[in-house]
Amino acid sequence: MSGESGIKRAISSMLYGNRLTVVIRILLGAMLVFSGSLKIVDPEAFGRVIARYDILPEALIAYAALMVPALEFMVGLSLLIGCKVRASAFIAVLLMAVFLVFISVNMARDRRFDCGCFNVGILGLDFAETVGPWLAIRNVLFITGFALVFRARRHLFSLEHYIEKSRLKNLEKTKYE
Amino acid sequence: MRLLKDIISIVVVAGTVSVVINLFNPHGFVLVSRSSLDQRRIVPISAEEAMIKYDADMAVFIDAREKAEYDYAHIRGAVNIPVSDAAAKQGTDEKFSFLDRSAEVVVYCDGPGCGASESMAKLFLDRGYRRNVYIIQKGFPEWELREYPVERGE
Repeated sequence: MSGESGIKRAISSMLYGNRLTVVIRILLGAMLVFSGSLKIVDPEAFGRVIARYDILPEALIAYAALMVPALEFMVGLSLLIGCKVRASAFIAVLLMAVFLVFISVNMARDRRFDCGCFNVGILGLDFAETVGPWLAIRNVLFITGFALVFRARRHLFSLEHYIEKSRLKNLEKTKYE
Repeated sequence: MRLLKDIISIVVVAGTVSVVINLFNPHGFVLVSRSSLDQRRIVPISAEEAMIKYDADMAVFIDAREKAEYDYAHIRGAVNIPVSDAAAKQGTDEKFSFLDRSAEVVVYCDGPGCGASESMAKLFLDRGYRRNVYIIQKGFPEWELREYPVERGE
């Protein structure tokens, strides 16, 4: 009985925003900064990756190849430092959902190719991830993580939290003066 | 409401950053307008490449020269649509019905400098033709020189 209520308590504390949500936020934010910055330096290569999925019309590929890495980087940075966390998490959920659609459509077409998720070739690493169920599951996990961060009300160790705390402190100070 | 404002501001900043980075990036994209994209759909080919399409029977050949020149000699099976005539009839002619079919379109005129093929190709794209338009770069003289099938008038 007490175990069950313990789990419940853990879940509600996570939904409110505890240290675990902070870890998730920072890890996912760092991941987005990493993948965004690798793609931002070579939009042409990322354009070829998008074209490989064969979903977007050719005219839009250039814009997507420019916009997606910049968004990933910005959103990742905001999550990492904890500024505009809810908006960033929301955009991240949308981005991941779009990636999931792209992956699922190509799985349904029975196509298997390097997903180009992190563009690590630029670092001289030979590491390829193939489009497949594992990738889809990973994306669902990412979506869950970002959704959790979006849902959380309190973000410890964040710029927002720090600003709010100092505002309240000042408020209290002025109250007794 | 505040959430929406934050989302928009992040998207706008990311968009601006991406465009600025693209400007200075050697691996960046050349962001082009629709009309220059259309321009890229006009593909110059050699008579030899045109012959491959001719042999495979996969293309409609359009002769963009004047009727007198066409009557004198033309690629066997080619349709004559003089560019001046085509421009006049734009929007009405059933001669253009081939544009709706899946065949490729190869246009030719009298040589590299004649310009009629290109104006014709632009006309097709303006009419909403969505595929590449091929033009024989050196025109009918090259085709004739290589002794590919030609039909001559009496």
